[in-house]
Parts: sequence; structure tokens; C-alpha cells
Amino acid sequence: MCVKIDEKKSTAEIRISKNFYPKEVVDKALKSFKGVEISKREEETYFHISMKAENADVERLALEFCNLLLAILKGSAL
Amino acid sequence: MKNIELFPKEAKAIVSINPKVFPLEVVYAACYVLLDKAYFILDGDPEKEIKAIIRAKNPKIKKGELEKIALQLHDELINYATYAVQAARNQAVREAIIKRALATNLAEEEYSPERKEEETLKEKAKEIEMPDEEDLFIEDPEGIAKPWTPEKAKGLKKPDELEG
Repeated sequence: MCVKIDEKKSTAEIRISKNFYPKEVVDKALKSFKGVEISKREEETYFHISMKAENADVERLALEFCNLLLAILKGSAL
Repeated sequence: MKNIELFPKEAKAIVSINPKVFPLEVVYAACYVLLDKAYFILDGDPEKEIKAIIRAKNPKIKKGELEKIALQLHDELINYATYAVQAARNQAVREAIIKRALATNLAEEEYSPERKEEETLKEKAKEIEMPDEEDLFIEDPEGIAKPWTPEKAKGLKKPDELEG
């Protein structure tokens, strides 16, 4: 699965393919995702997005981030 | 189904999509429509096989409901693929209509009513021939066609005196 959760540390890491999500879209989503500690790391074909949020369902936040990416993509799609 | 894998315990489904049948733009659009029902992550190879990972928003979702979301994604894929095909087919016609509409607006600007009136007046003015100076001469046998000036009026009788 593309989402790894560490419940003890309240952290989540998402692995997002560069083939489907352009860098500009990821950066835009990172900017608009406020109130959460969030960082991006790049590998060859993947972005690794780490986020930390105490007193919140971090898995849900990570998944919401994925949906936000799609919503931004659709803005420049069909 | 062969291209739908269900993992009800994880509230997860993986839908495999052939990018030769459904282009990436179509996949984005189909997922976007279902954003309120599930979470979507796209993975795989955009040239060989696209994998849409679906995570249900309800973690206790039943297998049937999960399958329903996956099948809905298929429906939307076909819906947007049809739209894309139709859009490609009608592209030339749409462009022609837009060009025509723009051209009409330009023509209207060039031949606005004020401009048209101005041009008509100019044409009419050209048609009207100005008479020569000789034609303007009027014969005056009485010698009365003289310009009146106050100096010339001195010594002349007033109209009342003439009557009396």
C-alpha cells in the first residue's frame, strides 16, 4: 500500500508516483495543506510525503491529501 | 472480476486499468467524480497498467459496497472515455463555430452603424457636383443686387417717410 502509518508517532508517509502526479501539483497541495507538519522527499520515480498530526487521524489526513492531489489535477485536466 | 481486487478487511480495492483503452486524463476525471465516496491513489505504469487504489471512507464497509465503488469507477471511465472521443470528433466543428463567431464580431466592429452612415454620406458628397462660378452669376437689370452697408443708407428716406 502507498500509505504507511505509525500510530505511536502519529505520523504517516505516502508514496506517490511521479508518473501520475506532477511536481507542481504536489507542491501546490503541500502549500494548501495547512495545520499539519508536512514534508516532501523525492526519489527516482516517487515522492515521499511525510506528515505528523497529533490529536488527529493521521491516516485519514494522508488519504485526504491524495484526494486533494486529484482535485488539483482535475483543475487542469479535461 | 479480473481487473478488480477486493480487500474488504482493509476497506481497499485495486482496479487495474489499461491505459491504451482509457487515457490518463480519463482516469483522472473518473476518479474525481468519486472523490466524495472514497480515497483514490494512482500507481503503476502509465504506459502499461494503471492501478487505481481505492480506500473506502467508511472503514467498516461491506465487500458488496466496496465492489460497487470499483464498478462505479468503471462506469465513469466509460462515461469520460465517450466524452473524450466525442470531443475529439467534434473538435473541427467546434473550432469552425468559434472562428465563425469571432469573425462575425470583427465584421460588426468594422462596419458599425455610425461608420456605415459616415461612408454613405461621403459617397453622396462625391456624387454631388459643385456648380461653376459662371453658373452662380444672376442677371441684375435693375441694379439692386448690391450688398447693403450702413454708409450707403445715409441720406436715404425711412420707410415711414416714403409712405407719407
